[in-house]
Amino acid sequence: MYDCEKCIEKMGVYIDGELEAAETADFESHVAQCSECAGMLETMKILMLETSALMEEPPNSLHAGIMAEIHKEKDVSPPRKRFKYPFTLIAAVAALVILAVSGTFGDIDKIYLFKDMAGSANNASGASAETAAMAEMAPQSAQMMFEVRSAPENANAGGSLPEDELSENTQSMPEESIKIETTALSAKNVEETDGSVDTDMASFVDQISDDCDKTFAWCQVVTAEDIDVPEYFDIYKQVHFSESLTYIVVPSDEDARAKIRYAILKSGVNAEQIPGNDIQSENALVMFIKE
Amino acid sequence: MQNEHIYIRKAKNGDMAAFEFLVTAHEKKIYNMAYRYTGNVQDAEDITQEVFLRVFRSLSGFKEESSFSTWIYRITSNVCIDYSRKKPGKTGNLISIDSTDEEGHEIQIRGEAFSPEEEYDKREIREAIADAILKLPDNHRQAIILRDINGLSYDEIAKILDISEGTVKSRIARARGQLCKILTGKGNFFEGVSS
Repeated sequence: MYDCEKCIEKMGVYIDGELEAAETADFESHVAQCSECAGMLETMKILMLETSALMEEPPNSLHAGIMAEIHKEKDVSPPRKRFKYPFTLIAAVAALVILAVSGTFGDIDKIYLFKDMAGSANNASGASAETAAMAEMAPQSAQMMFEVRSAPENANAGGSLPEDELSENTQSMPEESIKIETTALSAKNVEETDGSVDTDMASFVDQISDDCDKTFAWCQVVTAEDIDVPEYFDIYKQVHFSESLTYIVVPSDEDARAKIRYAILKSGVNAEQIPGNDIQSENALVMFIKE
Repeated sequence: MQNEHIYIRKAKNGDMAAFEFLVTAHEKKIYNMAYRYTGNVQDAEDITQEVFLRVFRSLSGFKEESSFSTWIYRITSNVCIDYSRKKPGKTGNLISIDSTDEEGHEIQIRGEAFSPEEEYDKREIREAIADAILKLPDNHRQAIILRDINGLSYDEIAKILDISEGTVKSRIARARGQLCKILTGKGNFFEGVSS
């Protein structure tokens, strides 16, 4: 049996349409007999209707104020960025993933290659002899391949980059070694600085380099769960990671695109163009990572 | 929001344009929650700034287990509570009105009882409601703002405030009842406008 107090308490839920059916009959029966509650119900309806109209446009200064604070914060202490997915995801899948990146900076075209060493590349559709060979490499690690820009004449082939940086530490993200671009280290240098270089990987890199007519180097990285983002990666705005897919924006240069597509095809990764007509779609490839 | 996760991921990687996109997408509702909570434009702006600063600082730790919207509302709720602690009584004078919370404990409602005059237009009604909301206890105020102004579901509010859905329903029902009491307290305010 409903009394007025209970009726008032349930009014909002009733107006929301969320009062259970059994209770609704009791509620309506009480309201039909109680003029005070009937009046209150009308009041409540107006209250809820007008309350919903209280959403206002913020002052014009709000957005600029927020962003000014954010930029101030960024200048004082840059946020620590974590670079989880490439390594954790890829360690968990048995697929070879190539990330091809078109830099927005000058004419840099890059191809990154991540490899799950724990899985079997033979299971990947279209796996090549190279990927099969790579699968035999040490578990719990991944390979990263990166394009090396041509070394200028005066580049220091071994001086500015300590020779032990690539080989000394595969237990953490070898940030210094990723800065290889700035030291113009060639694939040959990698072999020289890393005495334990795997010849299968080296030949694979050579093959890809020949196919794409570019020079690539590579290094081994651990598949730690949570690795700090190397500063180097900050420039790669065009690699996108989400829960379900990884996609990359490829260069507008058709020739470069063709080479990247070929490299992807050769690796056995299932890649498709993002459907759609926007610029992002036209310039992106989706990498489907196997679960 | 479609593809929001892409912007979140980009923002996590330091892309300021992506972060600004997230700000643009959420600033209005955060501002409105803060504004209706404090009743003051400047305080609402300060709270909104603080919310996005906290988002910026902790975005890398956002696991995407809840929606971004739920997460940012939860931060807003916390910032609002901090505001109340720093500025007690800011939203009105404490007066005692008989009421109990969802656990049956007696609570106090902030502010003066609404004292209506003759006839009101919609703008005045809304101002009266906004004033009355400021007189509610903090937890009731948050719940009613999230539900009746920001239009969230009971389920979402439960996640944001980290309470059960039953408690959310109870809080909102009581808040609405209190608003009615405040608004009709002295002059049959709504009877005048609805007749």
